[in-house]
Amino acid sequence: MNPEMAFFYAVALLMIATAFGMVLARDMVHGVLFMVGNFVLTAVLYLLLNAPFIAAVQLIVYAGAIMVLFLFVVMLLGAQDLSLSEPAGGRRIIGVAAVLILGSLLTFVVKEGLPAGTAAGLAEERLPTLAAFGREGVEDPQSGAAFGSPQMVGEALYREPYHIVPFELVSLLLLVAMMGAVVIASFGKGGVAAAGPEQRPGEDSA
Amino acid sequence: MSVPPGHFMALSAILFSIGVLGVLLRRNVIIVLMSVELMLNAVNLTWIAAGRALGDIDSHIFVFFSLTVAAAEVAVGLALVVAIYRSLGRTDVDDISMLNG
Repeated sequence: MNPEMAFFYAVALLMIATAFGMVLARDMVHGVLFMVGNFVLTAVLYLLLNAPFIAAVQLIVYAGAIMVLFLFVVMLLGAQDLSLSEPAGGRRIIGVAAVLILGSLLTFVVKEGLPAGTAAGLAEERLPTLAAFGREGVEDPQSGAAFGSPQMVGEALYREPYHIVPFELVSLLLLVAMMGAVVIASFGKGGVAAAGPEQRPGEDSA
Repeated sequence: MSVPPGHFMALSAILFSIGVLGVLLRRNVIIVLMSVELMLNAVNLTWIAAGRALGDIDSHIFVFFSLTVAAAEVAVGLALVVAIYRSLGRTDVDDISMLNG
C-alpha cells in the first residue's frame, strides 16, 4: 500500500468516525464539533483530489460560517437533554435496517458505476482529460493552470457565458435566504413582530 | 498510483447513509439539519471525485453552487428552528405536526 492510499484510508476512517459521533451525539455541542471535524476532513480529501479552491471554500463556508451558525443556535437555545428524545425500539430497528440496505446498495452502485476502465475510457474521449493535466503538477496546455486551481475554476465560472446566469441567481438566492431568515427568526412569541415598537429597549422610560 | 475514484464514491455512499441514519433516528431538529448537511457534503465529495476521474472542471462549479445553496438552506433552517423553539419551547420533530392535516 503506497502512502497516498494509506493517507486516504486514515482520513476515510476518521470521517466515518466523526460522522457516527455527530449522528449519535448526546451533547449537541459535541455533535456540532464532530460535524466540523467531518467537514475539515472533507477539505483534506478535496486537496487529495486536486481541488484546492473547493477545499478553501469548504473550510470558509462549512467549517467557518455554517459552524458559527449552528453553534450560535445551539448556545441560544441552551443545552437540551437529548437522551429523552430517542425513538422507540421498533422504529429504531426499522430505521437501522433501512439504512443498512440503502448503504449497501449505494456503495455497490456508486463503486461499480464508475469502474477504472470506464473512467479511463471516458477520460480519453474528453479534452481536457485527466491524462492531459489531471495528475499533480501537470498543467493545462492552453492556459497553463493546474487542474482544480482557483485560476482554472475562475475561468470555467466566468469565461463560459452560461455560468454567469446561475452565478447571479445564486447571489439573489442568498439575498432572499438572508431576508427570509431575519423575517422567520423574528416571527412568533417574543419576536420583533409580536413585541411591537413600544417594547423596544430604551423607550420604556419615556 | 493515486486513489481510484471508486474508493471516494464508496466513502461518500457510507457518509450519505450515516446522514440518512441521523435523519431517520434522531428527533432533535438541529441534529436532523446537521445530518442533512452531512448528506450534502457526501454528494459534493462524489462530484469532486467524478470530476477528477473524468478530467472535467465543471464538477467544481457544481460543488461551488451546491455549497452556496447549502449555506442558504442552513440560514433558513436554523431561523425556522429558532421560531419553532420560541413558539413550542422544544425542538423535537415529533412535536412539529401543525401541518399534519
